[in-house]
Amino acid sequence: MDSTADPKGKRPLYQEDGLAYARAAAAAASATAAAAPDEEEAKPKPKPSSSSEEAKPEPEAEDQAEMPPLVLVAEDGVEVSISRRAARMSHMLRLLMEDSCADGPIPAPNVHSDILDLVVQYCEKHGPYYDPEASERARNPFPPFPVELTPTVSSIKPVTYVDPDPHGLKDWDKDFISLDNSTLFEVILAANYLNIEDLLDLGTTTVADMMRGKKPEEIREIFEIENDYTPEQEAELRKENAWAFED
Amino acid sequence: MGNYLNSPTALEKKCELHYHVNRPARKIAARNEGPPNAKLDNLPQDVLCTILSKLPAREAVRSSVLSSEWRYIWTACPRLSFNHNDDVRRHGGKPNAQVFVDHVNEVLQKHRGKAIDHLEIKFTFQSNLTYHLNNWIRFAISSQTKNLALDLAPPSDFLKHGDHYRFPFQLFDKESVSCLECLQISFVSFKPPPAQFIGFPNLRKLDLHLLNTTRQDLDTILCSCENLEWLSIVRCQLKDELEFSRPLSQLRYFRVKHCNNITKIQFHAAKLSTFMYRGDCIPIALHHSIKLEKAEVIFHDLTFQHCTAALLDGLPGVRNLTLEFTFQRMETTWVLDSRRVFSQLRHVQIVMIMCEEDEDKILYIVSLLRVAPFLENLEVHLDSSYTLWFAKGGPSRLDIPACGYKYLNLKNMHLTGFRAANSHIQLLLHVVENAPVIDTLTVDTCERLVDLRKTEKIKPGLRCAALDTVRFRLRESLQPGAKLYLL
Repeated sequence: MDSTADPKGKRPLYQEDGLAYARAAAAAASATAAAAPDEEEAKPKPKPSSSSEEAKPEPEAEDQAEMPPLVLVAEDGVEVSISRRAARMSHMLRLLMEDSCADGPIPAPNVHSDILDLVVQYCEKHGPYYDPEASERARNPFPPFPVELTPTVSSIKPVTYVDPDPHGLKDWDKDFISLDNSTLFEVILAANYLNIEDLLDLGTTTVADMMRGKKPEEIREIFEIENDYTPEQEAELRKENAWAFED
Repeated sequence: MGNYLNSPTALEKKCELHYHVNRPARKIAARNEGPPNAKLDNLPQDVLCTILSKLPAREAVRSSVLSSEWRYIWTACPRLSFNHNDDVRRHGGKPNAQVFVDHVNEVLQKHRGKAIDHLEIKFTFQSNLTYHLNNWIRFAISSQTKNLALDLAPPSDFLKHGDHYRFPFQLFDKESVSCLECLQISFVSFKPPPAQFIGFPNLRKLDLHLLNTTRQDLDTILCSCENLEWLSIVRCQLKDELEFSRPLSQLRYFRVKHCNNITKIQFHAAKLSTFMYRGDCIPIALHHSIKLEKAEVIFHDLTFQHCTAALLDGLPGVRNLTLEFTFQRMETTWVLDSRRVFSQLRHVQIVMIMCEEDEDKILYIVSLLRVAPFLENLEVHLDSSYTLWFAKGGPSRLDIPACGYKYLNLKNMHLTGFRAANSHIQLLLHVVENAPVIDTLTVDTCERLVDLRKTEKIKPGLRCAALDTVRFRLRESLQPGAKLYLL
C-alpha cells in the first residue's frame, strides 16, 4: 500500500474492498474542493489476494495513529483528546474526519467531561480492533433463532469456528458498564449523540437486562419512574393487555 | 440516530432541578457540580424503543403501565420478537398455539402502519394456523420488514399430517421483494412460485431449515439473489443435486448439514470464504471458489481415500480444512500418485472416530499428507476404543513407498488421543523423520474429542508408559531446537 503524503482525511479510514474505497474516495474528493491528486485516489486499490476477508486495516490504522488526535470539548469547557483510531468508532467523528473538518476542537454540547472521559476510554480500548462489519454482525446476530445442531462434547474447535470474543473485551465491557444508573444513561446519551453504535448497544443491552423479568413495580423502583396513572387508569391498561400481565 | 438535543421536554424540566449530590458514583472524580442526573425517561424515544426491542414482546407491552410517558413507546419498537417456547416453559409445558397467535395478532395490530425492521416469530406449526401466518407475512411486507424470521417447528403429529407451511410467494409484489435482507425460515415448503415472482434481489442472508422443495424451485427462487452473502441449508431433503444456474457472486458463507438426499453440490461462488458440510460423501464441485479460506467437512460412510479424492476434486483451493470422519473405513492402499494437489492448504485438522477393525490403519492418512505439499500445521485427533492401548497391528512406516518425499513446509504437528498403538507410533515417527523443518510436536494422551463429556482421567502410570514408547525416539529424530510436548 503506498504511503505518499496524504492531505488529511482524503483517504478513507478503512478499506473493505476496492469498491468501498473508490466510493469513499469519490465522496471525499467531491466534498472538498481542494487540489488533490485525483488519480491517486480514484483508482481503487486491488485487494491482496491472499488476505482473508477480515483483514484488519493495520496500515491504515498506523497512519491514523501518526496523525494528531482529535480534540473534543465537553459542555463544561474541558477538552478531551481522542486518538484518530479510536475516533473511528464514532460515526459522527468519522464523517468529520473524512470531510477533514476534524482539525480544530469539536464541540460536544450537553456531554459532561466525566462522561466524555468514559466514552473516550471505551473507544480507545475498542479502537484498535474495530471492524464495522464484524460489529454489525455481532449486534444483529443471524439467524435470530439458531438451529440446534448436535451439542459439542469436544474442546477441539474446527477451523471454521469464529471466536465471539477474540480480544477478550467482553469482560472489560462488563466492568466498564457497571455504572450507577444516571452515569449509565449519560453514557448512552453521549454514545447516541456521537453515534457510537457498539457503546450504544452495550448500554441499551445493559438497561434491557436490568428490566428483564421484572414486574412493572420493580422497574419503577429501579429507574425512579413516577407512576402518574390513577389506579383506575392502570387497571384499565392492565385489562387491555391482560395476556402480557399474566405471571 | 436520534439527536438527543431534541429529546422531550422532560430533559429541560430536569435540568432546572437541583443536581443530585448523593450519587453512588463509580470512580467519577468528585466535582462541585457533577454531571446532570439523567433518568431513564430522559433518553430519547428511539433509544427507549431500542431498549424495549431487546426484551421479549410481552415484557415490552408491559412497559406501557410504567407511567403515562411509557404508554405508547412500545408501539414504536422497530423489532418484534415472539418466542412461544418461552411461554411454554413458563406455564409448565402446555402449549396453546391459538393463544399465542392471538397475542401476536394483538401486538401487530398496535404496530399497524409503522416500519418494522425485525420480525421474529418462533412456534410450533399447525396447519389450521396457516391463515394467520399468511397475515403475518402480509404485515411484514406492508411494514417493509428487512429481517424476517419464521422459525416453525413441526407439530408432534407431523408424520400423520405432515404438511409444511407453504411459503406465500404470491403475496410479494415487485416493490416488496426488494425490502427483504435477511430471512430465516423453518419447516416451510417452496412450491413453484408464481410467474411474476422475481426473487429477492436484496437478500443477503438466508437460513433454510427443514425445507421441502425441488431443485428447480429452489433455483428459481435463489437465482436472482445476487447479493446473497450467507446461506445455510440444514435438514432439507432435496432428493436431487444442489445446483444453482447462476453464480452466487457475493456468497461468502455456505453451510449444508444433515441433508441426506442431496446427491451433489455444484455452483459458482467466487468469493466463498467459509464452507461447512456434514453428510454423506457426495461430489462437491466448488472449484471456482479460489478464496476458500476455511472448510469444515464431516463425511459419513465412505473410505478415507475416496473422501480425499473427492475433496481434491471439489475444494482444491482451500486453505484451512477440518476433516471429520465418523466410523470410516480405511482402504489398505497408498494412494500416492496424484498429479493434483491442494495448492493452498496450510492447516489441516483430521478428526477420526474409527471403527474397531480399522483403528490400526491410521498410517494411511499419509495419502492426504502427500497431496498437501504446502501444509504447515497438521492436527490429528483420534477417538479410539480402549483395546487400542499398546495395540500391535497395522502397517509400518517402512512399508510406505519411499520416493524421497519430504514434508518441506510442515512446522507443527499435534496428535491427541495417543494410545501408544503401533499405528500411532508409526505415524508420529514417519512425520518426524520426513519433516525437516518441524519445530513443534505435541503428543497428547487425552482424548480431546470427548473431553467435555468424559470426566475420568487417564491414570498417570498408563500415561507415562504410553509416552515412554516414543519419548526418546521422537527426541532423537527431531531437530535440536524443536519443541516436544508430551501431555
